[in-house]
Amino acid sequence: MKLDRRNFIGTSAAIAAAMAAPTVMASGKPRVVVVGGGAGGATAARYIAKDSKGAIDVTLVEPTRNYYTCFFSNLYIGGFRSLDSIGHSYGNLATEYGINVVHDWAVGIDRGSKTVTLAGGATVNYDRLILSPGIDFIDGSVEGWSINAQNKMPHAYKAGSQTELLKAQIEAIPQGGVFALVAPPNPYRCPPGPYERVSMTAHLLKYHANNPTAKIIVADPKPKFSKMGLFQEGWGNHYSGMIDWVGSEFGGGNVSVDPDAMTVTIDGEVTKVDACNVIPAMKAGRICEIAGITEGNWAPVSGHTMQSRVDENIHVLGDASAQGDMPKSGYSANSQAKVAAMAVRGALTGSKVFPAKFSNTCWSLVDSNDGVKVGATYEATDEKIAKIDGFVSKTGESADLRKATYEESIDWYSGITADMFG
Amino acid sequence: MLKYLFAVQTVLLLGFYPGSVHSDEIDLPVEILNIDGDPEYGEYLASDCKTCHKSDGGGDSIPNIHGRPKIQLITLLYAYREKIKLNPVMQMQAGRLTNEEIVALAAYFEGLN
Repeated sequence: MKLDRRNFIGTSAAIAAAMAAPTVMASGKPRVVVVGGGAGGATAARYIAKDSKGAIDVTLVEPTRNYYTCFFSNLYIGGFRSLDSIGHSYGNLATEYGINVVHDWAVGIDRGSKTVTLAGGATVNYDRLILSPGIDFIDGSVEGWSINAQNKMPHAYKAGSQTELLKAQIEAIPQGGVFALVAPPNPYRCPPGPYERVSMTAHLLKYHANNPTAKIIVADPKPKFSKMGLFQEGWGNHYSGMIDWVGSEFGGGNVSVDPDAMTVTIDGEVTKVDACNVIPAMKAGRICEIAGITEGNWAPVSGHTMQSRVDENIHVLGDASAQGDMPKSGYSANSQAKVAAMAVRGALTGSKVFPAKFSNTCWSLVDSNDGVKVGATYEATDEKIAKIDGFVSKTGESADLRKATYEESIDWYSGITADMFG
Repeated sequence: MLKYLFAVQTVLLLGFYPGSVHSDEIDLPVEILNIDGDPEYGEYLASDCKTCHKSDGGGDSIPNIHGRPKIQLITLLYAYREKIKLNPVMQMQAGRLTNEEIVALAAYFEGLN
């Protein structure tokens, strides 16, 4: 197991010791371990390594060698992006920034001894730990569905093979068939995500699968959702008659599924479906629970530094954190990572620390060249990350403006993934 | 007030977002031009910009701003803050910047190649 490049450049005795006891040896420099290589973790690792100029040892623990971004995965379903175009490796972080990238699962955290245990059995020491594990699903939140049923009714809310599977199932829907999407309750990753997915599913059916008579049913436990007016306007304009959204007032939250029979029951009415996307209720990635830093489903943090309110040696980023007003999004995680990176460097090397500033923008695609967006800026208060200002696209915007918004999102994707992966 | 005149083609070269309007004459308050700008602070503030603005190969919608002359970036950020220019993301981002922060950012980006 290759754990730490620097540890293995040393005396033979040190190497022998390291081999005998699978613990990463301290190099004398302060050590940061980052768990999770998505928008929060990859960004934090890169900024700490880049800005500390070698003064901090950074280890990034991420199980996948090729990371597929959840953002833009709906565009793969819609046929606007290839899967390859949303996949990223960690090669640059290792070679250009000297980050010790470990492809393994973090399965244990001892906050007393400040160690992370990996599934392979090794332990890694930290002075500061950054947890950015994303989300896990709350077992039993959709009656009849469990992770064992994810091949019959995919969630596709962690991008990759699940997304491929869902797309294949949508493409296989027979003429005039039925697709159901079970939307999650708040709070959850990517508030507009389920509705962009509905849009991209409709686009796929109408334009690529030659199936414009197929129906899409959305069972939603919420009375309203992100960019609701914009999506509903777009559904009327582009996919008239295809989409039936059932909100909580109409029993959308009273839903169960039967993956074997391929049925969805909404408020007592059973519907046979040809494909079904179940997006369950969410919680912080399990490693936060293991670390003992969650309250309820999420890990509360200080907005000033993204430090856990339970353990000041741990910072929590992105979806897993309970921080206040920011939505759970890749952009938010990236923004929070920079504040955490600054705070970590300040604590470990005495570098200058400035007041935390955050921002977020979420672009969504409704149909070809019909992009919409919502964004806000935030600041840290003692209680939470608090919204300062924001905007949202308006209904009735010109086609030129919607096209420009879509094109802007393409540049944003290119920008943020460069900011994450170098 | 000190008037800075920019030819239209120069403004277009700065990579404005489609749908924005622009004025080729922007009134910059003279005090903003007397600020030195802290590049270290600018570097931190710039991390927010770098989510979208790449250091190489920027797109037509979100241009590369690395190495841009300081006065151009001051003018642009000021114009977005004062809502003279229209892109809502940039208005939002610039809307919370003080004069000192605008100059710090511009000084930092000018120093990059």
